[in-house]
Amino acid sequence: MLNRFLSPSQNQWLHAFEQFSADEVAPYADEWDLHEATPASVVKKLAHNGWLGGLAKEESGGLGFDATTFGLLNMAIGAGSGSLTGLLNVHSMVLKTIEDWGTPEQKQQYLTPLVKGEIIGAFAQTEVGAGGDSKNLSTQFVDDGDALLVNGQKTWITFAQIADLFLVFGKYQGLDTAVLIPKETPGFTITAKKNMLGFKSAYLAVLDFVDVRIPKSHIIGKPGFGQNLISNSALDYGRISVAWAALGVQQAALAASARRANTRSTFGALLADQGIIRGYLAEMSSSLLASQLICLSATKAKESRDEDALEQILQAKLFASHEAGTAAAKAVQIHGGHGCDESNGVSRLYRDAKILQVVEGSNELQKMLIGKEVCNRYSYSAV
Amino acid sequence: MDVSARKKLVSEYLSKLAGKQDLDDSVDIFETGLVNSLAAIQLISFLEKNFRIKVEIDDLDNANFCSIQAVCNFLERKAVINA
Ligand SMILES: Cc1cc2nc3c(=O)[nH]c(=O)nc-3n(C[C@H](O)[C@H](O)[C@H](O)COP(=O)(O)OP(=O)(O)OC[C@H]3O[C@@H](n4cnc5c(N)ncnc54)[C@H](O)[C@@H]3O)c2cc1C
Repeated sequence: MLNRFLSPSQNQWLHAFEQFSADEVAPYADEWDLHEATPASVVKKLAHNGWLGGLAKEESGGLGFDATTFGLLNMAIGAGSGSLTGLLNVHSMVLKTIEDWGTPEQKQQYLTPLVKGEIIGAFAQTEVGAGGDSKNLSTQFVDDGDALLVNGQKTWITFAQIADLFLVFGKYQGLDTAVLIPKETPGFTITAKKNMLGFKSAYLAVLDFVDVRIPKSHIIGKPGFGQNLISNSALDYGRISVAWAALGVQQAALAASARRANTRSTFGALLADQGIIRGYLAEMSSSLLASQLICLSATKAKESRDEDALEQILQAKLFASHEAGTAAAKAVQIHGGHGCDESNGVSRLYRDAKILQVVEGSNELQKMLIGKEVCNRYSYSAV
Repeated sequence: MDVSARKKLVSEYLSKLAGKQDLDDSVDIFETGLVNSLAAIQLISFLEKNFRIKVEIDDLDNANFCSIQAVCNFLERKAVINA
């Protein structure tokens, strides 16, 4: 369906992304999930294709993807593996942050390797005591001559097990601040986080910082702008990634369900010939269409810098991830006991869809933000 | 765009963002909690698009963005040429 709204170049990209996902991702995703690992080879292939730096501008050596093309990449990969979209998500957030707000020195040191995928970036905001409520971070950056001493802990950091460069959020003199911290810095340890519900091959980790010394030149943007500017502008891309990845999950859920319905017989007839099952498929297909349109509208708004772009992206993330959860639950239902088997792809879709509703601002948080925008709008117009 | 037209545009946008029709020129929209945490990027995007400026790292100072007056002063300093 999407094809008719895409430019020729977006259509070409979509074709390439889908081909890659069908060949290199989808056949292996269940195995990666069970082993809680993503092979280095697939990360290398994404880098080789330039897709890890897809969002970077051409003058930075990237492919200059517009927001929709970045969305299409996440959608296609998401139809294969939700976990792998986590890599596109966090790596792109770090890369865009440096491209948009980095100093010339930071760009020189990190931008090209990130664009080429020679190093991997991760986004470290969440703490056990501060998730959605990210104003209350307890990670501290304290003056130590021309350096900062970093102390704190971050948890559930996507692809942290293989990342090289971390965008870390904390407080500096009471101000929300973001700092770039390379993996090899003394006092910084990364511990794998296993046994998550979903995103099992997304290499989650806990980060510990004990008197980690980092030059002040690693502060990104300015102290005081860590949350409201650096984190939120990165999360704008993070939410596009999640919203479009949710389209991939919906597509995969629908395809698996239709195939199952066409082959499984009960009570002497195919599931495909049972009214209730057809009804499920009709609902899944309608939700997919609606989700595609809201995602497309949001990324087009972002590309033309419309005033409501940010709100549309929040809405797309909220809506598409919610519908992905509903679709994946129906897919499990249509597969019955087979769908409840951990090694079955639809069970993975179901678990990953739940993650999409929690990350990049939980859906309750999206509602709080969207609700405030709506209230402000109507209180201003007074009609 | 002359100074008063610019001020009108800024005033309208910030009022909408804050959901307050008679927003005072000097009210700090961040301190008073009138806007949510996304306001800063929305505002910067609005300024870059409508006044054809680039907000640089050195411009990152709450004193440039916190009120209608602050934003107008900031635009003045940025020596906006046209729009
Ligand atoms: C697989 C996975 C990957 C992740 N990757 C990263 C990463 O790469 N980097 C990173 O920084 N973080 C990451 N996270 C963390 C994630 O962003 C947080 O889990 C998320 O922000 C929610 O925070 P929390 O877990 O502290 O929930 P809490 O803030 O404790 O909230 C718990 C629940 O209550 C709801 N809630 C909270 N307050 C309200 C309220 N006022 N009204 C209504 N409901 C409310 C929330 O929506 C949520 O559902 C990841 C998490 C997972 C599961």
